[in-house]
Amino acid sequence: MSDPPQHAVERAFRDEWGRVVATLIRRTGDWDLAEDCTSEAFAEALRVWPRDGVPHRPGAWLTTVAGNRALDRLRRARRGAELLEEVGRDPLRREGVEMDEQDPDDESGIEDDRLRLIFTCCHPSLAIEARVALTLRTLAGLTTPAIARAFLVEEAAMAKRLTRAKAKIVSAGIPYRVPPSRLLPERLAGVLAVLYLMFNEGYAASSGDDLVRADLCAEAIRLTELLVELMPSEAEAAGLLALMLLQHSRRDARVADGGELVTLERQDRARWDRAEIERGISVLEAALRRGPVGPYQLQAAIAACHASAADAESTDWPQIAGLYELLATALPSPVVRLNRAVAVAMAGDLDRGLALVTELAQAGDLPGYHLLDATRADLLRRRGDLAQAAAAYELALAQAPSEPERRYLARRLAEVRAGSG
Amino acid sequence: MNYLLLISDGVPTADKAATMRREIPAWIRDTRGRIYGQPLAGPDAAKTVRVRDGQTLVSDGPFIETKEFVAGFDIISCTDLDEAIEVAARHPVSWFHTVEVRPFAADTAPGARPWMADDSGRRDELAARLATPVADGATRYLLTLCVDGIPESDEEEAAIDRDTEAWIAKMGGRGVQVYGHALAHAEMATTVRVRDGETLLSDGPFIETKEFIGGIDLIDCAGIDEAVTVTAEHPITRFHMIEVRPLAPE
Repeated sequence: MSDPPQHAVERAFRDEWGRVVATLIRRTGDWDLAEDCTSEAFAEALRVWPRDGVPHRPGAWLTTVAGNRALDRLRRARRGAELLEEVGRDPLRREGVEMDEQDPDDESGIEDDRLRLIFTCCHPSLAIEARVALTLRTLAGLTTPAIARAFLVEEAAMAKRLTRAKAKIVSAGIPYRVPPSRLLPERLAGVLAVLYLMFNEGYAASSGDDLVRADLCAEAIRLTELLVELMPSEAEAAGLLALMLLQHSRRDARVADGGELVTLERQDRARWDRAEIERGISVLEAALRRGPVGPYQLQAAIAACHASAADAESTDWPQIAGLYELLATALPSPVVRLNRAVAVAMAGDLDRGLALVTELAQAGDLPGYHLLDATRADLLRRRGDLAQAAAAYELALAQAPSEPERRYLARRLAEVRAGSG
Repeated sequence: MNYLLLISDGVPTADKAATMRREIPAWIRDTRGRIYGQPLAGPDAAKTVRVRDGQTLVSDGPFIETKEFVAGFDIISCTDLDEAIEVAARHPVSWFHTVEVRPFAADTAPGARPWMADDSGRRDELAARLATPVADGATRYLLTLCVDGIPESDEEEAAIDRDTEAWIAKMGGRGVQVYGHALAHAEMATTVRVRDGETLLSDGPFIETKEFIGGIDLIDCAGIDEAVTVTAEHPITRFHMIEVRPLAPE
């Protein structure tokens, strides 16, 4: 083996954790047991693989070890006998808890357990924070302390959130399955929303100093890749993956050395990850060919317009404005309308863009949203209304939730004040 | 799985009332897993019963006063939560207000009685018993057991369990108690609303309060005074409280 066994275990953890947990949950119906036994199987791998070598099929090895642990525990449990009987009686678990009958690498014709797991973790009857946390814990294998840190929550509170979600799945009877076709569109949209929320949590911390939490972004991308792999005909899943890749490609250019946010316009495009951009665009093109086109594909198409421009000046703003118009129809949210206004302004019609922003501000659909005032300030600045721009920057500054954003706005404010003074 | 649907209502309007009159019979007809359900008399008809230091304390009105209140309930049997949510979303009240879907406690949980077993034979038996008309001169009351979720000491809990069994046996012997079962914790609830054709779910009960419904009982009594007396004998009233509300007159 050229690869040290520790690396093989790490790689297996990344590739197989979710699959092993998902299989054990299906076969035992016990989420905690599944997690515990999967952890034990990885601990066993760390002991055994350096001694005996890495097994030919690490996933099958881990599933068997974890399954045997689960079986042992069920046998030892006080109610073990009854549980085993139940497991045998339940047609869903007809194969019992024996793990080695079926080749886990053989995916022909069987629904992947990881897909069941994603849909169950993202069930709409669970609180949205619980859906995100549970997906990260059970499918991605992040530890509870790591998830707690990522969401700036006390570890005990995060543990409670996870425990409660798992208890609800069992006692409220949330089914462990891929939803039937009549529920699928709405439930898939729910899964994509959870994954995008996870990505955004990582991409722009909702509070505090830590603007880029790369772990969450990477996990969200990995989970979306998995979803695309498992549901290849869902164009919006691919659209979301493309969107994440294209946004993520800018991560290094997005924050200056001092931690300050750098706007798209001023980013050093040499620091954009070209390989990620190319991948994003190719995933997007495949999704658009497949269709139907949905909001994630449109957002990815907008991101692709930015990514393909050699510099800020050559950005195809008319095309972006057109895409935003389509997006505003598919997803009529105030934030989309705000972005459309920016695109219209950047495409050359500054007055119309500003009018659209003012309209939004007057409608009061985005109360306390700092980007509304920040955008108005920016457009006023571009038009040369520096005094009005300063007033809008002050409003935005008072509402901005994160330190880098506040620093950015403060700098802009100082600039326009100096200009108008 | 068996679920309790708590149908909550707000201020009535003529428009809404017409929709309900038209749609509820259809909902009942189309809901195969429905075991039993009734509208309740208005919250003004409710009494809340506590027993402290051996004294029975009765107050008028429901255990919690809110703009939206429980106006009816249904006991349904479904394969899983998704099916229960679909049943709730078809209920016309969910188009205007909310329907809370709460699982019953597992039959092995303390306070649960094996009357709600999943097998359909017993389900049909229960449905038949609940469908039996209330005797002449009697009224059926819904008792909602309002608990605060703070665990009692082990001795107290054992006493509650023991006394509850005794209460059930006694009331059953007198033909008063017709049905009763503990519910899963309020945190296991899902609240269903349908707006613009879209089913909106939220995690938890329709109203978040410190005290929540921990179980229900149905009793047949000659009148509200007897119902209050019977309720005051329930051990839960020593620690928490029970709201007594007549079902709506037929």
